[in-house]
Amino acid sequence: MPGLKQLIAIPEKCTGCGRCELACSFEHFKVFDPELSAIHVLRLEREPLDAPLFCIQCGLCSMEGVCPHNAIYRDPNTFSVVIDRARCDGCERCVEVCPYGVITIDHVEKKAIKCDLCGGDPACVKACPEGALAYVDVNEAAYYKRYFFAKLQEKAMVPIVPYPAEGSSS
Amino acid sequence: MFGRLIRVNLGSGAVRYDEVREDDVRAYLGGRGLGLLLASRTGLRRGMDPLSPDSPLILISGPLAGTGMPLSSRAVAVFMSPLAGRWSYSTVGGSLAVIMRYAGADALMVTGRAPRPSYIVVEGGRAEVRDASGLWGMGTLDAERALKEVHGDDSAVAVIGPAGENMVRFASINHETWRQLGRGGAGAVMGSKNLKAVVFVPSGRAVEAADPEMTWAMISEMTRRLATGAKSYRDNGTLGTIDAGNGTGFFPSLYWTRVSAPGWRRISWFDVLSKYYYTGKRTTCLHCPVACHKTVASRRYGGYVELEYETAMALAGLTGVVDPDELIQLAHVVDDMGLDSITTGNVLGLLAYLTERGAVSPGEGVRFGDAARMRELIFMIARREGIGKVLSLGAKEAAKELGHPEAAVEVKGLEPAGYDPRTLKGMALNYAVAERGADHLWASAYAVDIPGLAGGRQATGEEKVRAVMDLEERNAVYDSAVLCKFGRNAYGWDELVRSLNAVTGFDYTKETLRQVAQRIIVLHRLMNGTTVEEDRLPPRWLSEPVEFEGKSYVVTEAEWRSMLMTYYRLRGYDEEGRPTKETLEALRVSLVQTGQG
Repeated sequence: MPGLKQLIAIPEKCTGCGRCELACSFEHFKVFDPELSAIHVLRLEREPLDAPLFCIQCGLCSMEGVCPHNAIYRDPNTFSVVIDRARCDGCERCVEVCPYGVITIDHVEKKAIKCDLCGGDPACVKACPEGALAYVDVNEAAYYKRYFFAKLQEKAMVPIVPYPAEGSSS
Repeated sequence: MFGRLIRVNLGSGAVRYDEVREDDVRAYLGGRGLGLLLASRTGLRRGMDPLSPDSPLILISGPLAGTGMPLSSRAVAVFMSPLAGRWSYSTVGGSLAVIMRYAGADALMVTGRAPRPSYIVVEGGRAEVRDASGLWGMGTLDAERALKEVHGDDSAVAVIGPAGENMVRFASINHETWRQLGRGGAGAVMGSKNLKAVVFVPSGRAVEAADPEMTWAMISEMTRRLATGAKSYRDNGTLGTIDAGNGTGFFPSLYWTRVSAPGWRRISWFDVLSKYYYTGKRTTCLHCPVACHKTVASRRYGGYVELEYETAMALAGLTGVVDPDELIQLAHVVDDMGLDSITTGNVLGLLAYLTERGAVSPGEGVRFGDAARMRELIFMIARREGIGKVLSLGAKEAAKELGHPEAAVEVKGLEPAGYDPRTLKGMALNYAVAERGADHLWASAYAVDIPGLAGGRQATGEEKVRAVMDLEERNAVYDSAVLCKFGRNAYGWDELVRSLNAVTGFDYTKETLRQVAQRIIVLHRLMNGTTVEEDRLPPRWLSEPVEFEGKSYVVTEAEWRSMLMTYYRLRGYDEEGRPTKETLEALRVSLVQTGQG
């Protein structure tokens, strides 16, 4: 499909601010509640590590045998994998199946939440002040996916460790 | 709405759950304002021992925290300062303000003293006291990591280091590794209670806004405004001020004898730190689009810290340690021990100043620039050993103990920060009247002085006084909303009114919000009984000129008095600096003790 787009992250740019989470929960539920967000920010100041995690629309959760109510399908416009919450009963099978941990059960209606790309205009992208999220042509996204997996094989050049305490050897 | 108050008495173990009245929130907001109101109702007064079991520690968030309003993740501690002996407060960013609300506490008030080392956990709106004997003695970095291993990475930790445990008068409460409730010694108050930490564990993360659509609109608008309004904080953090201060002559150096540090170019942000030390990693307080914090790594020692201007001024300017690697290491040790870096730099600088003048022996003292000895002294201060015991009292008391009270540079017992008032005259008024002491954040007058507004850096007329007072009032709102003051070029009065109304559902106008600010300032003044005598500047600023580019600068008694009298008139104080009856009535401020401390 020409013109098809995908949501990608440029992790080095993420500062862990978490505004994408609030934009997502506000877009879908009109509340400020990161637990109702489909995008999840890992914010570990000690490492330091800040990264956004979200569905890459792989479709594993939509495969036959996962959702007992056939509530998960592919949206023909955005090609995103969408959960029909009207049919969801919160059984958590899709949560188990997701390899990236980006499907969650919301604490209000006890139904599954996952990224639906906001129907083609992702709110998180607009909310990110750092340009760490982008909704781009799938070919450009393919490059970022390769880069992302390449980073997993990266060796740190300099070990960054905190100062040892006086007298200790850690 | 905002107002869930949890009270913990560490002596009896009793925990009480209360709601603050909406009228109190309307009159004082949250943060500094509401915290001071709660403190005033304890009936406790100056003169009490700040380290006694009765001494309260109030940790308080603000109504904006958690909505995602830019710069709203700031929390406040209100307490009787062991350093200054007056009601004081400090503020912190990170995620504390938001996570404590997610944990079910908009405010936490701790009194009493625990029988053994303890910490408090707040989760699901409930507070529990737990054993902290395994954590006692740990530096702040290790202690926070240990607590997060137990309570999760999502939790927010407020923790003291060895300095707080030993009740060093300027011990800090640390948070999220690099952030502090720094000024005034809140860490010592915690230490005196045998309280190692407070941990807030989020459970459910919704925060309500009265008008969600309007709140979202304000969030979007403020994010746009901050892209330009806070650009310099975004690009350079606060470290760019190192170059501005040294380059234009307001950088406190060699314990207030210079306004530009010899050799300062070695720690220039633009020429050195940003190129050879900055790791490229910017970090945020939660929900912040500015991301001002910069991580710098030491090439000599390895290791990294999030560095900012005040720490650089204090540990490199005042001490003469103008070496980036040594500065990074000193900053790391100060953070790990849990000390206010501004006060620490001041007391180390005082010691070097006295050593240089022969008032302290070289063996006991320190030379300006001796980083190794300064590092050793920081540990001695934290442990209150040797001369560290004297230094741990703060500059005012230490100078007295060392036989030279006239050497100390302080106002009301608190040491000043990165702006010399002899070259920035608005700061002279700021330092004089700030309720915490020589507190640069009281009115952030440097924001008026540095760009030469209101008549220029040396101006002391009514225009300057009014400009400083406008920021004084806005800072009172920022500290109570709670908002980070780096938003001052975006959050003007109009934006404050609209943001607060959208979230709280109140109907402030610019006029009524100004009154809230004035109320907060005046209540604090009344609680401390501050008068003109305590608004005096240290003699050295009046009698010792400082040189820069061939000119000489000092604050004259006449300048100080003229600014002060104008300020008193405009603030509604009498000539002794006391709020008049009319002022108290107009703002509806009184000291009413409900006994509900």
